[in-house]
Amino acid sequence: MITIDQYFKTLTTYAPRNFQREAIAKLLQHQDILLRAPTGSGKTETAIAPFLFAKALNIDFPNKLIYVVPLRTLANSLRQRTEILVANWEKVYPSSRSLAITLQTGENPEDPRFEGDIVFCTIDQMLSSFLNIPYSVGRGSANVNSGAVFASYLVFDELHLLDPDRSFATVLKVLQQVKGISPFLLMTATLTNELATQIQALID
Amino acid sequence: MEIIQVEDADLQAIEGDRCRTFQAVSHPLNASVILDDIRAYQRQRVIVEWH
Repeated sequence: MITIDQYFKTLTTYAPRNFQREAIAKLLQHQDILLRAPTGSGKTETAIAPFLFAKALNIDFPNKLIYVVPLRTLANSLRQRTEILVANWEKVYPSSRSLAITLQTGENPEDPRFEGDIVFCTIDQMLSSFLNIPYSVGRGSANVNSGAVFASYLVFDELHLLDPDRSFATVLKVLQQVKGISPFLLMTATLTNELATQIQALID
Repeated sequence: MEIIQVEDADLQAIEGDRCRTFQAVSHPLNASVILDDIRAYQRQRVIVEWH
């Protein structure tokens, strides 16, 4: 716990709140989490932290983070915020090479094969990749992206903004498939307690 | 999968942090004031709540 507090302070300059400390500790133990926290509470830092801390702590954890959002504007701004966080982190904990933080959206398809260490993408990019029909990648290498999904730590942000009958339903199927293979973190500001419990039951 | 949520004490602190920006604004808060603030501080995210 002390280590997580110290690392979190290095990353953000402030101490973690209880929900952040708990979520990070459990994700590092490969437990999947549904985090209900309001906007402005530090969900993004909580999501990035275990990925960075695992390397510093030499804990077995996926080497890639795929951060999925429902809106491309959100992907852009989160990527910028994460670049600053990671730059600060690497000043204190430098690695053999700097982490590549990439963007894969319809507007900015700069990482169609999910080659970055931290990939910010929209939900359509992630789901098409998982279903072996990735955008911007030929059919011959379509399975590369789904392999990347299975080898990654997955973060689904703003879960409540997904279309319940379409992308949200597919995400639930994805989570059922990756459970026990890829650790994942679901984050939402406004999901009701009842719906959160139903999602938990469906995935477990 | 485990559900984690923010404790009430943290929730109050988070709400307090959110209000800090506009608490010092004495003039009426309209779209122009908000836009000027976004530009001046290069804010990435802005939350507007009506009470």
